[in-house]
Amino acid sequence: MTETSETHTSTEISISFKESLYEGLRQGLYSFYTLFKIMTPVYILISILKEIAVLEILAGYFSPFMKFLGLPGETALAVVLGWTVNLYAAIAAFAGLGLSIRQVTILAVMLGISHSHFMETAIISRMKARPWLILLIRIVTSLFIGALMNLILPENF
Amino acid sequence: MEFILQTAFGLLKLMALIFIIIVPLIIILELFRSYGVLEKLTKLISPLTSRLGFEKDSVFPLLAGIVFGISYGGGVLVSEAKKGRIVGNQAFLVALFLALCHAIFEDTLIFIAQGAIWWIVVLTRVATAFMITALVAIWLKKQGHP
Repeated sequence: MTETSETHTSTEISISFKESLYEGLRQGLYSFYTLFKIMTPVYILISILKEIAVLEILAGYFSPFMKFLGLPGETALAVVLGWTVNLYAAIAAFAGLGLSIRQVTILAVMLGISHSHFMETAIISRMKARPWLILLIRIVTSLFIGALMNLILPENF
Repeated sequence: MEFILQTAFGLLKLMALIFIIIVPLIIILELFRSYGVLEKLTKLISPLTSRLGFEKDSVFPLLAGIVFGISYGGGVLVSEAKKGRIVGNQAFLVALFLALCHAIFEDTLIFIAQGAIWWIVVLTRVATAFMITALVAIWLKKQGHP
């Protein structure tokens, strides 16, 4: 039961249930700590920008473009943070905006397809798999799918 | 004062949501990994994946990435490629699919917690990754790359 035969990574030889449970907990808590450190400043910053009405001004610049995706201008910051930092930064940036189910669903698909480009392009280049082409495909696909979902999904979700 | 309280409460709620998703999820994924769940699944779905043009040895890194994330899937892909089991455009196509669709449990769960509809998110993302990868595969074949 404790044997993990023929794992492709081959680093672990025999791990008990309790050990992997403990290992998972350790990793989980560590990940949470890392995410906490990213999300807290983003959430606070966005809240302040909203409070002093700067977010509104920024949103005004972006809304002509974001409206093709069915999203308010405020979410442009979330998209940019998702592309550059990661999904957690993006979530922290839109969590306080009171978005609709429809808007969060569109954002989830768009950002799921296209996010963390600095880190993930580095990972993909290690796979020797034309990272710049893949980056381009991801960004174009995510914008296309976002616009498509905005056309297809019913208004009142 | 009201602003500070409101922000603190919002932040606390957000981080609590993330905590109750991430910690159990990582524990479950770690158990998956140590019990070789993916190896078993790879065998199970190989008839389907071969029809989509993925060779058998590409399926494991593909599944690893879809479930555990791109850095894990990418690591498996690199090591399989070094053993010469994944050749030519297969590696590129696996990387492309994974770039579009990875860590599907984690990514979907954190957005569900914000209100997203899970089946729309999962179906759209997986279908998009399949379609784009298939299109690129057809295009590469036409270009004469095996």
